[in-house]
Amino acid sequence: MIKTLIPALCCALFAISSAQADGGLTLRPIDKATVRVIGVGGAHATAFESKRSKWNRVIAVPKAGHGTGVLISRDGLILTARHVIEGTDILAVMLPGNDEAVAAKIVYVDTDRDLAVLQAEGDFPNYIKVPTTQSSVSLGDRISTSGYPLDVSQKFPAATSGDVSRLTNSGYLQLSMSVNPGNSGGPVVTKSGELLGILIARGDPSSGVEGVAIVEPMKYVLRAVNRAKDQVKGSPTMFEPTDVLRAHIVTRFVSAEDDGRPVYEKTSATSLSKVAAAKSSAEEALVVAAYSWNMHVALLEDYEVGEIAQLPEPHREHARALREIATRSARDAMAKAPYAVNLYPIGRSIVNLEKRVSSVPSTAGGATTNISTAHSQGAAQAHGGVVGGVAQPPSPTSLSVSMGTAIVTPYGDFGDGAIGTSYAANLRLGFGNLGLRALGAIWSEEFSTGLTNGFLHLGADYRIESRPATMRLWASFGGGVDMSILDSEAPVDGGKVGLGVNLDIGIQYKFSDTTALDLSVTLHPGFTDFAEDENIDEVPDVAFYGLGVGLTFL
Amino acid sequence: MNLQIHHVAACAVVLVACVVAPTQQYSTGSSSAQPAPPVGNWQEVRVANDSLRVLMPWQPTIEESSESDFDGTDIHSTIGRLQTGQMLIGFMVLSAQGGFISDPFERARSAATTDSSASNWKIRWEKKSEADGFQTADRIVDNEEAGASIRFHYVEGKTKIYTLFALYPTIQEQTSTPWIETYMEGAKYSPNEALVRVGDGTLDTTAWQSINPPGRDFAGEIPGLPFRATNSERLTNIEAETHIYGVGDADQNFGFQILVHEFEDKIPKDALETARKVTARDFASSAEIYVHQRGYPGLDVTLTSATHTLRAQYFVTSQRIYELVSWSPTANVADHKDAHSRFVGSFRIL
Repeated sequence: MIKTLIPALCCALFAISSAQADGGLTLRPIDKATVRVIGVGGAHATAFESKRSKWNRVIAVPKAGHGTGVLISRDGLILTARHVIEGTDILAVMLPGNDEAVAAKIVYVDTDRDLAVLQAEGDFPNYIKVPTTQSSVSLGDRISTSGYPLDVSQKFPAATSGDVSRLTNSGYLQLSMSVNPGNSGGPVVTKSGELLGILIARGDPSSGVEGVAIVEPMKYVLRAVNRAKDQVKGSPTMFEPTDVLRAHIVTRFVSAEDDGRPVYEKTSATSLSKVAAAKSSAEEALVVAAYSWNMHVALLEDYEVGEIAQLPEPHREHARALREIATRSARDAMAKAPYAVNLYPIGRSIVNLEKRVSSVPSTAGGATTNISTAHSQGAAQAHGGVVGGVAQPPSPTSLSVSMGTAIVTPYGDFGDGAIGTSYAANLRLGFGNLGLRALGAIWSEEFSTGLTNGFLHLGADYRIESRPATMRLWASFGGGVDMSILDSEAPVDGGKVGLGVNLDIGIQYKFSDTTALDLSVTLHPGFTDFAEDENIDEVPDVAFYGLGVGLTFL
Repeated sequence: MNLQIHHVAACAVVLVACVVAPTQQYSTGSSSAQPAPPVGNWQEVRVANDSLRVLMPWQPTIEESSESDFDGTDIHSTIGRLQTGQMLIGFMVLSAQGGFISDPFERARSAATTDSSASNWKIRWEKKSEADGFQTADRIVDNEEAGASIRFHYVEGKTKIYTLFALYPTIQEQTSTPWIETYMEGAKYSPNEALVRVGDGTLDTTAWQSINPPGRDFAGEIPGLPFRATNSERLTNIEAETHIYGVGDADQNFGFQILVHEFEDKIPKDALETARKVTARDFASSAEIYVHQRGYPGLDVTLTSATHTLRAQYFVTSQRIYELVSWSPTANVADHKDAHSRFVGSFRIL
């Protein structure tokens, strides 16, 4: 991942020098130097309903924010607002027109003004020079800003213009300009493109204040820049290869679908393991844990409980690796710094869910799985109901009840070709894929020969199912004992007992976590003659083909 | 086998499952009758492995149960109740080793009354505080329609949440309150559950303690069991409350302190400078560098007097200034360096 990121980053850096936003808009120098600043400072756990399986799965939701910054030196110094980076553990920046993450670290944070200076890793030809003195501006002068308001996924900065309103009592520049969340930290420039200050605040629309923006003027910006340069001179910012991937993790961790679910991206488990193993703070390790967990859940989003053992490779191995990285990182981080769980409650959730998985016997539903020992917990997950953090464990058992009206036919020496109706009922108690079942049928009166009124089948079967979904196909095959139900006036003793087999094919619609509707076809060829009475030959062998409707309780 | 297959028509069956939870009803009705006095020989009731000891008029009915929260946290609850006249007093201990317990007040309300609708109960009064290393909160909720009130005393520990409750007719609040408070104030909690262990503040560099006091939003390590003190002060004409956690040797030659200056409003711009001046009053020279933590700005300051060297780190958040101070005789600065590094290195703003 790192190897692929660095060339991509270099390409991006040079490509942007002549960047035009899509649609032919040309970027000004200030726009080319304006970057997105993204930071993560915590992650809590929440449950969301899986689109396909309808199960609740636990995901990490980052406590994150984004703002704007401006490159002020070729070696990557970035000016931004202090409040953009307060409370963050990992930072990343993204250049205009590019979605690749660039690692960034804090160099200086001002103690009394809302200013901070970061340093990004790399060589950045598109930067703006910081003037050594405050530009002379007058009230009413036209100025503009560049930034990334509202939507962090926008690749290009948005320009907004306004006028200088006044200098406030607190030494801020007040502008008449409409800005939005995300603009914070953005550069404010004169018509000639000279830096005038850093945008730090806006009017609060809920208080009736609109069209007002507040700017830290150059007096303080210059002080911050000089202090930052001194800091860098005394203690150069060091970047490790893993910082690049951490930055990448941050930008992907904050990405989410419109409904909040994580967006799956194939991230090398080896790279994640390296980052997790690298020297890092507990908070950084928990970001890795949270991201790995989300990718694990997102990977399994297309699958349902009971399917993990059937995941195609390499998905299965990748899912297992992601979960292991998440669990190990979370456990290690919390052991090292228990306090960190206050900021990253997801770490505790990951460990708790893993404990729950581990407590499910790995042999549960083992008949369905042909998997490695290392992944046996996957089977436990599948059948214990904790795939990727499924929070509501299903029971490994199920109860199916269905009824139908069957038309049956005798065969053999008796009454070949006759057709009658039958009322049939089926009861199945499932344990994973295995099940015990009772199938019974009662003939209608006109079909009765005066000998039998129906039959009862008691047996076991084995059921296979299609990939779990709201609608799924299933089939089962089984066998057992058949017993005829004799008419009370039948001239035979002992009835008829034999072996019977069943083949069932069905379609199931799951309309809640615990209940599903089944429509099924049953084929029951009949049973072997074990008559004790010579008149038993008068008892017809019967086969039927049934279509039944019923409910399954999971 | 001459097998013939024929068609079957189908019909459906609908099954309805009914789940009825066992319930127990407690009186919540209003009455002009006096509450039953706390008669009997008050006895100590110990539950949850003796982590809660509480005096009650007689033995309560105790229920134990376990459940799993949505994120996999296994929560065990111990609920004790006893009814005296029209009142019900009780307690609930929620245990979640390493877990998070969601909405403990609502759980306690459910333990106190079978009224399933939380919206029927409105918060009338609430007070939060810190005592003996625990974070505590007191709350009174009213159900106007039923004429009933519940008073809660909530104590948060490391792995347990204790809630004492008393359900009573609102009209009897005045007469009930004294002995409800006696009941609640008499409870004792395991010191092992305290979020911060405090002591006499004796410095012991062989016994570093984790410190994560409730409500202060920081964590760190300090050598020994710290004393705890709270001062009110004025920094740049703004009233601030300072919470101090510190250790020192008998002669105060060596010491470590964490001071948390809390402001009701936004910190004034020069508050940090003022705090620094206060610390530096008796010191002649200083050197400082800018530091930061989790994006919060700070200063690392070294101050020297004729005999001692003091190092301090300040961090500024929106409503607090954190001040970490350690000092030693100047001659012992080198010996003191590792302990100082551990002290400031372990500090985290949460």
